[in-house]
Amino acid sequence: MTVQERILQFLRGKNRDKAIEADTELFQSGAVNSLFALEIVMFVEDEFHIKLKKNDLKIENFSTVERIAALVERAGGAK
Amino acid sequence: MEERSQKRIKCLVWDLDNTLWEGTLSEGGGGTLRPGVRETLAELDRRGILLSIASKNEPGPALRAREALGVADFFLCPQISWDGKAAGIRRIADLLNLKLEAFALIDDSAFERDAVRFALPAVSVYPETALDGLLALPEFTVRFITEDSANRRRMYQADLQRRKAKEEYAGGGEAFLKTLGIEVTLRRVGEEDLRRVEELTIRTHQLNSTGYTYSYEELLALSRSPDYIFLVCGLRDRYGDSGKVGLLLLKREAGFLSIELLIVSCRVMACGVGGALVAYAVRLARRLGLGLRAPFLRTEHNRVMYITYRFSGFEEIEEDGDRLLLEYHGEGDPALPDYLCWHDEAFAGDGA
Repeated sequence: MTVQERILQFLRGKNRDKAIEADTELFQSGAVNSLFALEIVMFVEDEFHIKLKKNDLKIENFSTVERIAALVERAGGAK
Repeated sequence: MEERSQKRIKCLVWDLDNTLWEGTLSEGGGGTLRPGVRETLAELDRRGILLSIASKNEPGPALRAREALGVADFFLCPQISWDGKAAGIRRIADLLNLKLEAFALIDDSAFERDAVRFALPAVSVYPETALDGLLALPEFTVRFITEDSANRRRMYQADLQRRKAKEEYAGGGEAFLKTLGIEVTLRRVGEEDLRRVEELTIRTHQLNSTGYTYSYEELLALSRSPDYIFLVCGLRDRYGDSGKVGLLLLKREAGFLSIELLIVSCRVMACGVGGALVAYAVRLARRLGLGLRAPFLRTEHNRVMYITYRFSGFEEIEEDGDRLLLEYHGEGDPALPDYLCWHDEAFAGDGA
């Protein structure tokens, strides 16, 4: 599975929302849900064995699955 | 102000045979509570300490015996099965969304106590003989009994119903939150709120941005000081009233507001109240023409708060070990979640 697919699988299971696609806005309303933010950060770190740096922790990096996957690749967790 | 220290038990898990009641159910016991048990249950409940059960028994007869003794209502999510008690306690912690450090077990079996100690070292363990002095132990003592502490069991029961509804709901995330009809009320802290406010600062570790706790007298002074804006946040939804669940303490500095305290009860973390309070503070500061800063003490428990700040557009401008200073560098007014119905009574009329 690709990085994108693994993230999608997690989010679809988590939210029971099969409609999530790679370019779906995850923080639709623009509002930050703390728990969801924590879950997605922790998933990315655990799943791809990376430790995100403080400058990675921005909502722009987590706004869609595509962007999360790009962040994972930049952080060297794509292998 | 002082750093928090004393461990506090938030949930006491009871064994049944020879601990809650006299004798062993499968051998004809279970007809009478042990002396002092009923009073202890009632008092812990009044203090807002949750009660549950982990027992190796047949679930059917054990639940019926508990009903017959008239104490069934005290217990949340009882775990009665032939599985290990550590698994039962883990499941209760998961259902109630509490850390294992907040749990204690009372059990007459030395074997079970050791098994739990071994598997879950964070859980405090007491023999059944501890019942007599239990209410006087500091970890079971609270300074004040507030309206919210006495209602805590009912609030958690509502939470369990909410969770069940969520599991059965087909849509995800925010779509589910929309079905809850969540109403958030924000108002200035008054003297009548202070005991609950103190309780929130003491009880909430995971979602405390600075780790500060304040004495009652300090809180009273803050609520009256013109240099501070001190707000308390209440929450209710169609499952019931969750009471006061959040605090926001803003200090007026030259050119900016400082978030001295941001606390959200773990129970409502999933509702997005933490992010909403941060967004509210940003909007308020912008309306007053001020910047916004947030001192932050990094602990092993409050990463969720840090991520909330960062995702809300805060940047670190100072770092001294685990003490950080964050500042809002975002643009425009951040959105408040559209699944929260927001009642601003703090700045009524000129809505932040």
